[in-house]
Amino acid sequence: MRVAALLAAVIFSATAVAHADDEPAPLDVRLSSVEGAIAASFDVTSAFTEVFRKRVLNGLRSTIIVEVLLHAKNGDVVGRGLRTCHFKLDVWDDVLSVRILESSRKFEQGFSLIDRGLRQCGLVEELRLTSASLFDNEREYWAEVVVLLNPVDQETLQSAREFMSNPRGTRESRPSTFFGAVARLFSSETDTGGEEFVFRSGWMARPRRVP
Amino acid sequence: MKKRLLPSMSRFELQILIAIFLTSVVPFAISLYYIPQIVEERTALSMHEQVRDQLEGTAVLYKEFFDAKKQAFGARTDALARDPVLVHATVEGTAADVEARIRQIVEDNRDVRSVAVSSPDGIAIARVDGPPDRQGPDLAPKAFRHPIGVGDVPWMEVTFVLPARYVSAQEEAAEIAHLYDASTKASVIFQTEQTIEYALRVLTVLVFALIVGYVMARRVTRRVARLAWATQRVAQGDFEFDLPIRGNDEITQLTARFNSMIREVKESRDRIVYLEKVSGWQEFARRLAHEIKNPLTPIQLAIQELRRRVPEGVPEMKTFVEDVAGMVEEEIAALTRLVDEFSQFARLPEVQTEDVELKEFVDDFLAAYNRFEPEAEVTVEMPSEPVRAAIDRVLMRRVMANLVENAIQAAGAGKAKVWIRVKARAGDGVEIRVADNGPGVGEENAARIFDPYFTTKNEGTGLGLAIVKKIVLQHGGTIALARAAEGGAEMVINLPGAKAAMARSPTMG
Repeated sequence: MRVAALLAAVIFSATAVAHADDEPAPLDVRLSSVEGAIAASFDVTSAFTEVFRKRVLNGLRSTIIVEVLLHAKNGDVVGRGLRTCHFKLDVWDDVLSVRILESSRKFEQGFSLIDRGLRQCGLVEELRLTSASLFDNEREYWAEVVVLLNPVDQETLQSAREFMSNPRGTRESRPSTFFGAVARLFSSETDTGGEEFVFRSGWMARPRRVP
Repeated sequence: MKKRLLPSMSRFELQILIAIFLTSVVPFAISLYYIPQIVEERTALSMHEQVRDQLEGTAVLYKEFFDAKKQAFGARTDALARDPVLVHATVEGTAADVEARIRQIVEDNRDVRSVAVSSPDGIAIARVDGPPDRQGPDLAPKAFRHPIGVGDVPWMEVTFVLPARYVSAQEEAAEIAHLYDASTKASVIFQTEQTIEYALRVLTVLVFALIVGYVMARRVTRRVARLAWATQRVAQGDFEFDLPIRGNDEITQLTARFNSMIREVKESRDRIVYLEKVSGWQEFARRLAHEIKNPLTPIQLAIQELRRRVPEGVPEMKTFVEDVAGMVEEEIAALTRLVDEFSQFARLPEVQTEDVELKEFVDDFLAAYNRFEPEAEVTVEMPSEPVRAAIDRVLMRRVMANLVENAIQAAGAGKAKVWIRVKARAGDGVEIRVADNGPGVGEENAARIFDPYFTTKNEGTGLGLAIVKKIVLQHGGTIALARAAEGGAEMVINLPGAKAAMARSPTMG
């Protein structure tokens, strides 16, 4: 319990966290080469607010999206990585189910300690950004990390659509109509809502062992 | 209509199409203005932060309920571990004593699924499961452990149960709260989608309505365009067409009347042209008769004088003169007949019509000619009811006589069969047919048989049918050549009925 409490204190000390409107907070990001891809490792658990944690503790479904944009020196985006974490607490057994989705891997585990489950999401290890072959040895890079707390991701958006079309759940979920499908082509279905925090790394050199 | 010279889209058609388009597009444009507002209002009605907070509060309430329940179960486990009988049994009794006591505990606590006691190093001492109704999947279990006493003592584990529906209800509440929260956050996206979807639906209906409207309007506009095109052709003097009659509406009636009008105009025009032509020929016949008739009398007198002056006693001379005089007198007689016919043709009287019952007229006509016996066998076919027409008895009798005589000449005297058929036409009109069993009229002559001076006979003047046609036209009627069912020629006369003819004019000139 002491360890957990200490961990929680570290996580939610709210140091070096910046909202979207503020200047990006500094973040230590490490680039590495993994199986021919450039990957980033960093820790954004500091962005998980107490409000968010309480929400998870209360058994409410929660989602975190972590997006990493790797910029070249001239500002061009040369790599992008995305991690989505879904949290679901079993309030009877006190087990936090954490489901993490990345482009190249998937992870799902139950945690008796809530904060360990949150840290599993915030501590990002080797998130694939782009192919290592695109990197130039001479150039320098910096990463922008955006953390979205409880945004509406595509999966949730679709579930919300079905829920709104059949809120009572008295009938089968309405199939997507032709017009609805066409209408969605015209709407901007980007992740929306939620609290946003932005981090920025310092200048980084390319990983040493790029093939 | 043989030729299709209609433009692909007439101006009238374009105007109708524009009208339909505007009728559809204006409401669509207005609805586009209102749709976002309606969608926004609807969203505002269905999305409330208070509702979201209440939904989340419900899920949190469940959580607090479970926490309280677990706290209570923990406290009861603590209390059960202090049970003096159980403590005594674990310290001084046997495993059977322990089992007896925990069995009693299971029986006394209806929300306990099982109780187990194990040694400090984890070896099971006793375990009692509750009855089967506490083992089902409809119950959610939760185990609590507590030492029985203080120090290195056995532990007891009590498994409590709760209706599983409480757990699923919490999960459902959390899920609904989650989705409602997402819906609230994505309300702008939903509004956009609903607006576009609604607009697409309206647009689809609009396009469908436009197509249907255009197709339906085109059925009308094309016919109107045809009528306009037809009037142009008529204005250019073309009467040789009929507009197709389709449908059963006012335009159909208009088209039918237009066709009828074209036919009447054409008939009137043909009648006028023919009558003008015949008038010219009449003038020619009158002059010709005059020019021929004038020298005939002196020639006749000269012949008589020649006969008178032939010396007696010269028989050869007398015979010669008689022969020559006879020949000249025969030619004079022929010329005289010709002049008479020309004169009759030139001086055709004006038609003086009266209301006549045609059966009586035909009977009188045949009686006057002794039914043309024995040259022909004439059969009359009349309807049982009276048929009336406005005709000039004298001139129409001349028409009938001419036609029957032509029929007899064509079929051959003595073996000719002639049919006179009279019937009332639909509306106010009558039809008289004169048919024969002759060889008929060749196609090469059919077009000219009513022309003056055209004849296929050796001794004819070619004026008979011209006179017939002029009389019929003066009656306001028509005459046409057809092929008889019996194989010969058939003359078909259409005359206006008594009422129509009287309405036109009591005297037809």
